[in-house]
Amino acid sequence: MLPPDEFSVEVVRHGGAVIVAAHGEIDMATVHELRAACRAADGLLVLDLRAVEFMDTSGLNLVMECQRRADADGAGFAVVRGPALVMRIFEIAGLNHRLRFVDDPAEALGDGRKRS
Amino acid sequence: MAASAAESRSIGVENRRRALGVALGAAVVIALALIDVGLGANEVIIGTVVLGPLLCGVIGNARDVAFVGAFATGVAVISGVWNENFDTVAYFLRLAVVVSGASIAMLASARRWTITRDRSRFAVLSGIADVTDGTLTLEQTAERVTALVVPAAADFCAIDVLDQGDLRRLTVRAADPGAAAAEVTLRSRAPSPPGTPSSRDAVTSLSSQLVERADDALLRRLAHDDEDLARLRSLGLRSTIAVPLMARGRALGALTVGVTTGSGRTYGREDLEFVEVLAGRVALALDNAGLFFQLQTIEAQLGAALSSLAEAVTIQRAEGALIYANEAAARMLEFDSPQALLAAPVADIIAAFDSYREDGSPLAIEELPGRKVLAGEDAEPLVVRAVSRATGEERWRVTKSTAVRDREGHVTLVVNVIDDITDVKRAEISQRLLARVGKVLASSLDHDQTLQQVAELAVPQLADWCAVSLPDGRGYLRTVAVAHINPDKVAFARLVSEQYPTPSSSPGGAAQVMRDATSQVVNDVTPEMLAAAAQDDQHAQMLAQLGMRAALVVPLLAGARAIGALVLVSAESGRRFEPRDVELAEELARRAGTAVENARLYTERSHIARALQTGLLPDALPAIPGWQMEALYRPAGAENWVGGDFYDAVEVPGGWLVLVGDVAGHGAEAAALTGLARHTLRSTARLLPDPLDAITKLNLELTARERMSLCTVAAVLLTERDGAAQAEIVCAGHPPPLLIADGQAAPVGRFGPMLGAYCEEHWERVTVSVDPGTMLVLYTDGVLDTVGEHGHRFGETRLQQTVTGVTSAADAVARIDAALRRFERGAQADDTAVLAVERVGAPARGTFQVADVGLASDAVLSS
Repeated sequence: MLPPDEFSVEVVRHGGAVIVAAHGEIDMATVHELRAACRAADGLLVLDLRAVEFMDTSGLNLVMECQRRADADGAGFAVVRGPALVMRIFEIAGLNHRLRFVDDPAEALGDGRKRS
Repeated sequence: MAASAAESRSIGVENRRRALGVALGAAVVIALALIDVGLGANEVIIGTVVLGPLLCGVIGNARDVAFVGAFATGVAVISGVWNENFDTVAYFLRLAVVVSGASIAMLASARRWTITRDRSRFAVLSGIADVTDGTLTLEQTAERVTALVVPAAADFCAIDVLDQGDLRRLTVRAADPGAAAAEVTLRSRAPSPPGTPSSRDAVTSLSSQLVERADDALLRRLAHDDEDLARLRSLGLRSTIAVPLMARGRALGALTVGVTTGSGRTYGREDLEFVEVLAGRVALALDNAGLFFQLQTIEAQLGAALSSLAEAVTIQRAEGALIYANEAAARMLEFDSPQALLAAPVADIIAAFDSYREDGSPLAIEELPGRKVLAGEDAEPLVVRAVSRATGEERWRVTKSTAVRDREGHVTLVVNVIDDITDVKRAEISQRLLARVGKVLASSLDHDQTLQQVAELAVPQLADWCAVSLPDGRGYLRTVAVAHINPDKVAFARLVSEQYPTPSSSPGGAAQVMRDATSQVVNDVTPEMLAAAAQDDQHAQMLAQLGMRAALVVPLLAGARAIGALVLVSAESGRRFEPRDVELAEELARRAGTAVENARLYTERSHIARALQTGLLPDALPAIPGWQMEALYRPAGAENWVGGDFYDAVEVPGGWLVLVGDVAGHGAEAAALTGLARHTLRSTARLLPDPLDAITKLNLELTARERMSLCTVAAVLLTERDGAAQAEIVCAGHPPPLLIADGQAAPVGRFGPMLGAYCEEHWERVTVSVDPGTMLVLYTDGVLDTVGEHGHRFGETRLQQTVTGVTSAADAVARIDAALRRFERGAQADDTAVLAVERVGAPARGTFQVADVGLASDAVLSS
């Protein structure tokens, strides 16, 4: 397992939206950091998984938490597709058609602006 | 003033001498004339009266000689009356002798006077040259200059200096008689108004002002008012000269000299020239004095500035001797005053401290920046830990040294600036220490091991020794950790504590600190204290060997309760424990105490968790007719005290429901959720055997929960009809089971949504027939996510390869277990559950009557 400190989260504010980009492996050891970053969002949240090398159910749970919070707050939530290994987790979890997946953050932001 | 009185006396002597000359000359003339009268007309010696002026010329000045000469000439003229020789050649010859003799005497006297004057002027100038060496203050220089000028070249002299654009009277001097009164007058007077020949105009016009004859009209112009006029008149001025004092092209002030009518002197053009030369010298002297003064002022200011600095500053000469030290330097180096420091030998100053580098290694004197700079090298600022040999106090210093070089580039001085950074450094060390301790404490649950690491972090930063004692539950304190930089000493200390365990009831020391939960500091450990603490002679000897000089014992606190003690001992370093050390040690102990307590609670909780976990799994897998079942459950390490994986096998109407599931999260919450999931699936399946029903029911239960509760399940309903078995597989967010037929493994099942995410969902079943020898392997994602070398994951492909060619359920499980163990690197991160179900054939006769009946009736109904 890679040391946890090789995991990093990058948060970029873009207007009212927050893009949270995770780098490295999302698992039990690292998910707290990502969760904290995601919770800081108060509008549209875009979770960028492009640089994620691995994700387990901890990450999946976080994604569902974010979705549930977005639904409750009426804020948007989008996931930028990650590598196949990561997408496989969504596939297994049967969430492929339930979440809003985009290919890059700009796509989510563009849509977000149209909505507002 | 004594000098001035002596000079006043010399003026008196001079005046008396001149009066004597005149009197003597006149007396000789009178005497010779009387003799001439007495001798009658036949003997005529009147020509000898020329002796009068000649004699006077030896003593008096030209004016005196002229007076006596005129008197002698007069006597010689009237001598014709008594000598009755008015019309003789001899009379005129004698007269001519007297006149010419008197004239010669007058000239000689004048010549002598000029020589005397020039000599005294020269004396004045050379005297002034002596005061230009610049070691006197401005005032002292002016005093000396005026003392030289008066009375030799003037009856009074005043020096004014320009001070912020205005003239300030620096000094005055007047000759006797009336010197004191004149000086008062001259000192108190403001410079005369502009446009008058005074010091003010000399400075403003930069030209000399000569007044040959000061008449009353001039005095009126010079005077500020009537009172001032009266004062000026009282001075009896005859001639004055005011000359600007110029140095380096600028006016410094003015030199004013004057003679009084009383002295009989008068200034002329020649005197003006002399005074101008004099003023040049005076200006130079004053300028030098001013520069010197400025330098002194700068030095004084610099000295004041340096002495008020918090940084210690010392200045060394090239050969190493200290020539300057400020207050801070004296304080830092433990001297009462900078003077005391300067007086001390450098070797003693250095020897008063043990110096160490930042890494704790001893520092050689040659490595000090000052030494390096003296040796002509460049030196970077150096951080030094200095421990006072006298007090044991530890200070951190950063020393910077700079060379002062002469024109040839040789080092003449070294300026050392030493900054006391103890507070900063201590804070830094504290933070670093606490951060490291935090990491160590978080790294393991084995408290003996972590406490040993904590103790090792504390030396030698905080103390020479560090030990941790915990109660052993049998009335003694157990030393669980000892650290010293020397391992031999550690072994020795362990030996001491093993041979002489401290009873928890022991008065004082760690036992008392534990009882009171308060820290103890002893900065001067005496042999008596050690003797009192010793249990017998050998113990006393051992304690003495530890070389304890100061001790700090702080409680290991868990909340307000002391669960142990942290002991810090100062030995060979000789350092004392200061309040900040106590603070740091207490903080360290608080963290360590909390960690130990957490570890204890954790261990306790782990036991509970294990019990809980076991309760959530079936006690043993039931025997299912016609099927062989084998399970593998690998909970993750102690850190993951209740995992979320579960498996179950439930008999349902018409078959068996086997399932593997995984709930999100860990701990009590996950345990509760696991209980809910198992219970819901079991109870639903008993009534409604269709796995879709059980899954849907569980999803409704989970989505109804306030808190997000996610769960994934792979459920397989095993049924048998006419001896042929089939399996209905439903996946809810779970990895699909592997179907192993003819040794080949392939996933079977459709991806369906995980449970607890959305309430309105649907799942699809996949039905496969299961021939004997065919098996299904259900597993949780812990299998796939198992971490191997380089962070690789076990993954689906490896799992399929592992189970390819397996011969039985037991074989499948055993191979998976072995493969995971082989593959895994580091601690297991997640729970792992595997359930393998193999179709072994039709149930043996007589064993499954009830099921057979059930299945038979089912078959009838469906046909």
